[in-house]
Amino acid sequence: MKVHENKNLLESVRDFWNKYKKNKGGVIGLYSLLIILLVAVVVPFLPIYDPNSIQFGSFMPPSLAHLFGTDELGRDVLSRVLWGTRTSLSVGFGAALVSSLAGIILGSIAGYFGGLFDEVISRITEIFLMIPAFFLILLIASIYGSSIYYVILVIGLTTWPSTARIIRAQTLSLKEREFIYAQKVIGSSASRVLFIHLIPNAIQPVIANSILQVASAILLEAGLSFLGLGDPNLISWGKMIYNGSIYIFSSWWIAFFPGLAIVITVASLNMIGDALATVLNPRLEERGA
Amino acid sequence: MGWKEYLLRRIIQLFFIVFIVLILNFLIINLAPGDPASIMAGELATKEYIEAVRQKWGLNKPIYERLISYVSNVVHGDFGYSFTYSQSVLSLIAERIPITLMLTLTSSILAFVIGLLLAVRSAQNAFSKEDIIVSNAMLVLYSVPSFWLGLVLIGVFGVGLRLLPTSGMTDVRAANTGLLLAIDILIHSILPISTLTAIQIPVYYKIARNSIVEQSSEDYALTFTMAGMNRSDLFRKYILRNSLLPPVTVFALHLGYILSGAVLVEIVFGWPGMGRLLLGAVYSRDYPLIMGIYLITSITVAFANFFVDILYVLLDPRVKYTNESS
Repeated sequence: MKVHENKNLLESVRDFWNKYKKNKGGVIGLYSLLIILLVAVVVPFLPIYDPNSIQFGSFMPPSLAHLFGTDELGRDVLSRVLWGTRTSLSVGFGAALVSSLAGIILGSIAGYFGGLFDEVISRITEIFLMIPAFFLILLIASIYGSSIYYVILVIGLTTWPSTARIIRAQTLSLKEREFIYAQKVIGSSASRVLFIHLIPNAIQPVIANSILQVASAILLEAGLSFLGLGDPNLISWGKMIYNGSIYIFSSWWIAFFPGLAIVITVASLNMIGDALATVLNPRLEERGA
Repeated sequence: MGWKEYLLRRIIQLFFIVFIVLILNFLIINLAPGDPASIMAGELATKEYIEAVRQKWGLNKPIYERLISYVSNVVHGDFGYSFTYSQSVLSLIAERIPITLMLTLTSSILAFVIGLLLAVRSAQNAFSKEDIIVSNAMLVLYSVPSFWLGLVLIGVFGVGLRLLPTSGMTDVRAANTGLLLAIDILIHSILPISTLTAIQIPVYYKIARNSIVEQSSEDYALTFTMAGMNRSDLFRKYILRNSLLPPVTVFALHLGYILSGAVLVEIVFGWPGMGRLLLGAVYSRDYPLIMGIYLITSITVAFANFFVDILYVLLDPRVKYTNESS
């Protein structure tokens, strides 16, 4: 599976898939995530009501015309749930991308250069692991405003430590290997060794972690929106649940369906992440017995 | 590394955490667009009050002087003043912490016990059908937003079955005292505690299960098995003991997660702890109060991690062994 082992790429992908598909949860999660991604892409073309249209009656319970009912303003809950996939997935993948990039860069610098770099970055990583991200994000969003770009950036920049830890450990073990040593001997620059040779080989264990971070970013965004700190211009599942919570005693469907959407999306991601972690961590794999 | 050296290292780290939390907070205030004094005062404050805040926190001075006056104010226990409540932030939060802790501690203990029991069952039959089903069910439960689960429980037990109260900590109309009041609080706490317990079970389950599975494949376990040791003896005397520590550390590491979950669940159930305070602060843009909650939760989590780490060293026989030999 490692790039430097000179194995046919197609072959290693097939090997990987053969191992992965033994994990039933991982396969279910993957298919379900693909469907959700598809919905997010094609939602403007789906034969559903306008999510902001208020022409229907308010508080209509689920029926054939409105499968998930209508909300307090008479908007179709199903259309809003489907449109909400875009917000959640953007925040989830965006934040995970930011946090993985930050973690990879900091972690590999710490591992590769060692010494003072390592000392400083490792101490900062430890500290950031302990600061409760939710309250920090909440504070920043309340002061700086909550456009989706801020939310993505802030979640990303507060959740990088776990990636940094993993990549640091990987770098530490890889930098003693021959193929890295050979690069140093032929005089490749540090940034070349780091970005072309080291990081691509160290990145595997990060992938599982990044998928789990997409999941937790979606939950964080939902929590923020529930507190009224989501992007006010977008349809968000968290905000829908907050609106619905006021009417929980009479119209349960307003809060129920967006929450179910969160559970399905986040659970798919968690199952994929868990399956990847099991495949990549032989200690947790099933033994012959 | 000796015991004293370790302790010293952790104390220095503790100071650093508090320092970085303060610096972050300071940067957030001072890099924000607009007037830092109006942020420190909160959005509903009057002009005169904003001016008073500017003087007190030195916000008309250069940035390094601001930092010094900020840190010295906080170190002296002044976390700011909430204009909306006309009360100091510290006393506002201090009043509500016990009410929040009542939920978080009870639910953490319950979740720890339930998670561990499930993990033992799963790990003893690792990779069996049951283990796979329970593991996946735990992943789904881990994906449930706390506040939504609370609403679902309200819908089922409060609205549907009309079994349990769904809001507040006491029945205001009954005005109970003594034992009746305690029972009343207990009944009101059933749903919020169940919600918080449920969302924490997967955290303990996962770490305990993996830790037991890993311990079971360690060399010593294989050796004992081959030497003919009884399976349940091996499990009780060695594997379980060695597997118990990771879930303990998880409690401290997850305290931030638990507190944020608790805050959201409190809002759903109208529980009068920090959650309600935070929601109000967000709506009235009471920045000093939001900052205070951030500072106090961060510092609490840092101290909890510190104490658990120290406890860990005292409890773990392997660490103790290296200390004696060094």
